[in-house]
Amino acid sequence: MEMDVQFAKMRMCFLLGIVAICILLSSCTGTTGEINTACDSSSPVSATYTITSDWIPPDSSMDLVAYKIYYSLGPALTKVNNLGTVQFHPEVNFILDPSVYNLKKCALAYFSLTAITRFNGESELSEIKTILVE
Amino acid sequence: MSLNIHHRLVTFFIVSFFVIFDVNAGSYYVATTGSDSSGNGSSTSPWKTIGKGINGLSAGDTLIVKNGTYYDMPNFINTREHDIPNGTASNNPTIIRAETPFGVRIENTGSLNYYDNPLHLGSSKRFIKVDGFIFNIKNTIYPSNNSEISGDYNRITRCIFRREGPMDQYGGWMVMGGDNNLVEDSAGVGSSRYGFMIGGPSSSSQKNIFRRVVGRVDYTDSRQPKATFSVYGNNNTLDVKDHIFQNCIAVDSQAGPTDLGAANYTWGAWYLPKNATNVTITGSIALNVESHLAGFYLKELSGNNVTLHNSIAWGIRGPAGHPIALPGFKLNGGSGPSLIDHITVGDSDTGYDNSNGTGDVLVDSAFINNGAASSNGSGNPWDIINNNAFIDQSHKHGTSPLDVDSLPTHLIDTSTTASLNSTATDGSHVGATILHAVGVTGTLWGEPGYDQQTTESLWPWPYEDEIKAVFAETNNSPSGVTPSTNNTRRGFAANVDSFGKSMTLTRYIWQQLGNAIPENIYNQVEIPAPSNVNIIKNIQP
Repeated sequence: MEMDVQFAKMRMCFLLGIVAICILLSSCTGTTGEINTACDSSSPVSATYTITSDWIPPDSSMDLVAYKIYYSLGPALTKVNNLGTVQFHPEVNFILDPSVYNLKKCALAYFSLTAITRFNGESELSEIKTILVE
Repeated sequence: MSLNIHHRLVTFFIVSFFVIFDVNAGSYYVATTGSDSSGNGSSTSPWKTIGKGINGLSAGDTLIVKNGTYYDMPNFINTREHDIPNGTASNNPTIIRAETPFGVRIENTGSLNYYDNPLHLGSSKRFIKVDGFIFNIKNTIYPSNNSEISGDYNRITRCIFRREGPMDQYGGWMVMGGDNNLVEDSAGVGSSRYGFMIGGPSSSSQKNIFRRVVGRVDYTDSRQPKATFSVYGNNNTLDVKDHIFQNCIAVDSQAGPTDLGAANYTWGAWYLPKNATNVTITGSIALNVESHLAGFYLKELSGNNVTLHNSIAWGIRGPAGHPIALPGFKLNGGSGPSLIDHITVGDSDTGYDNSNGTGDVLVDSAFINNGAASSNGSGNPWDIINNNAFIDQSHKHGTSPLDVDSLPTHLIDTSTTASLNSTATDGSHVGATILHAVGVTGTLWGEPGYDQQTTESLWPWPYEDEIKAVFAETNNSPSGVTPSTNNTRRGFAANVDSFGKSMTLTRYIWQQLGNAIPENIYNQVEIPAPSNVNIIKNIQP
C-alpha cells in the first residue's frame, strides 16, 4: 500500500510537470489559430482549394475505401483534437470550400488526411498542411 | 496577452485539481492467495475475497481481482451483500476488474437463493464499471439470472455469462432494468430463457446499449417465450424505449420445448415483446439460429419505431418437423412504424412475415436463396418497399426490385456483388455490409460517438478466442430440457474450419458462403498514412 501511495505521488508530480511544460510550450508557439492581421477579414471567403494525395497499399489485398480529412485552427491536430472531419472518395480530388466548414477568411487552417481501408480500418494522420483562407 | 496568461493559469489549476483528484482514487487488490484478516489490499498483500475488497472501496477506486476462480457469495459482485460505492461521473467510475480480461471466474459450489446473483447492481448504483469476469452458474434453479443491472450509467465490459444445468423458467444471463447502461465485448452461453433481456412488463428502462455481445442458447426447459436477445416492452405503456444493439451476434442457438404451443415457443434470435419502443438493431447478425417463429421478431403489440439496420439473418429455421416456415424477420401487432434497411436474409425458410398495421418501410435489402417468398398479412403493411434484391426471381416484389446475379463472396459484405453495389436508394450497396464497429468503444448513450459508425475494423472479432473457449466447455443437457443433447463444439466452437484452420467466430461468419476469409483479416499490417498531400488554391473563373 505504501508503495502504491508513493507511486501515486510520483505520478502526480510527473503529470503536473507535464502540464506545466505544455502550458509553457503553448505560450511560446501560439496554438489558437489567430486571424492573420495582414489579411482583410471583413470580406467573405472567396477561394476554394483542391486536396490531393497518394496512398500506397502495403499489400495487394488492402483496399482503399476513402480518404478522411481532419481540420483544425491549430497545429496540435489529432484524431481527437480537431474541428471536424470529412471523407471523400479516393478516385476524385476533393474540392474544399472553407465556408462550408465554417472556416473564416484569413484564418490559418490546418489539414491532415488518413486512409480508410475496407478491412483494416484507418491509417495514422498524414503530414499536416496549412492554408491561409482567402 | 495578460488575458491569455490568466486563462492558462486558470487552466493549470483546473487541470491540477483533476490530477490531484485522480491521485486520490486508489487501487486495491484481491487474490486467491490473499488474506482478509492480515491483508491490506495492496498488490503485495491482497485481500482474499472480492466482497472484502468491495467493502474497502471509496468512490472512484479500482479493485483489481487477480486471475483465478472465486466461489460463492463472499466473492459475488452483488450490491445486496457488498455495497459498491458509486462513482462520481461517467469518467470517474468505481471499477471492479479482472487482472486480465476473462482471467477471473466467479461461480457457485451449491444451490443459491433467488437474490444471489453473481453480478447484481441495485437500483441506486451508478457509475460502476465491471470488467473482465466470467460469471458461471451451475446446477441451481435460482437466481433466475446470472446478472441483474438495475442501476444507471454502469458499464459491464469483457464479461461472459455462462449457465449450466436446470434453471428457473424465467431465467437467463442478464436482466437489465436501469437506464443508460452499457454491455460491451461480452457474451452469454448455456441454458437460458431470455439470454440478455432489457426491460420487463412494468419496467421503464431506457437508453441502454449492447455493443459487440455474442449469445448462444444451448437448452432450456422453460415453458415461456424465449430468445437470445430481448427487449421486453412495458405491458401498458411505451416506457421501455431507446435501446440499441450494435454489432451483436446470436449464433448457433438451439430452440426450447414446444409442448404448450406458441406460448412457449422460441420466438427468435431477437424478440421484442409487448410495447418495446425506439429499439434499434444495427450491424448485428442472427446466424444459424434455431427458432419457432422468426430470426428477428421485431414487434408484437404496439411498439413504435423499431429499426433493423445493416444486419443479417442467415440460416433461420425451426427444428425438424416444425410446422411453421420461419422468416428472417417478423413484424406483428397493430401500430407504429418500423424501418428495415440494408438487411441480408438468406438460407432461411422465407424472407419476412409482416402482419403489422401500416407505416413500415423496407428498402435496400437482399433476400438470397430463401425457401419461399415473403408474406404480408391482410392489406399492405409497407408504406415504402423499394430497391430490394432477390436471388430466386419468383420472390421479387415491391417497387424497383433487383435481380442478384451472384452470391456475395462473403456473407458479411454484399458490396462485393456487382448487382448489389450502388443500387440502393441511398446510392450505396443493397444488403448488409458489416465491416466496422458501430459506436465508439466505452461510450454510454448520449456520449460523443455512441451511435456513430466508426472506421475501426470489427474483425477479427474482439476476444473471440476467450469467448470460444467458454462456449466450448462441456455443458450436457440435463434431464427434461430441450434439446436433449448439447454439442458445445458445434458451429463456431468447432475445432477446425473447412479449410483446416482453427475455427474462430470470425472465420465462421466470413466463410458461411464457402469462400476462404481474406488473408489480411488475420494478418493485419500497419496501414501507411497518405503521402504527397497537396492543397492547391483553385483559380477563380
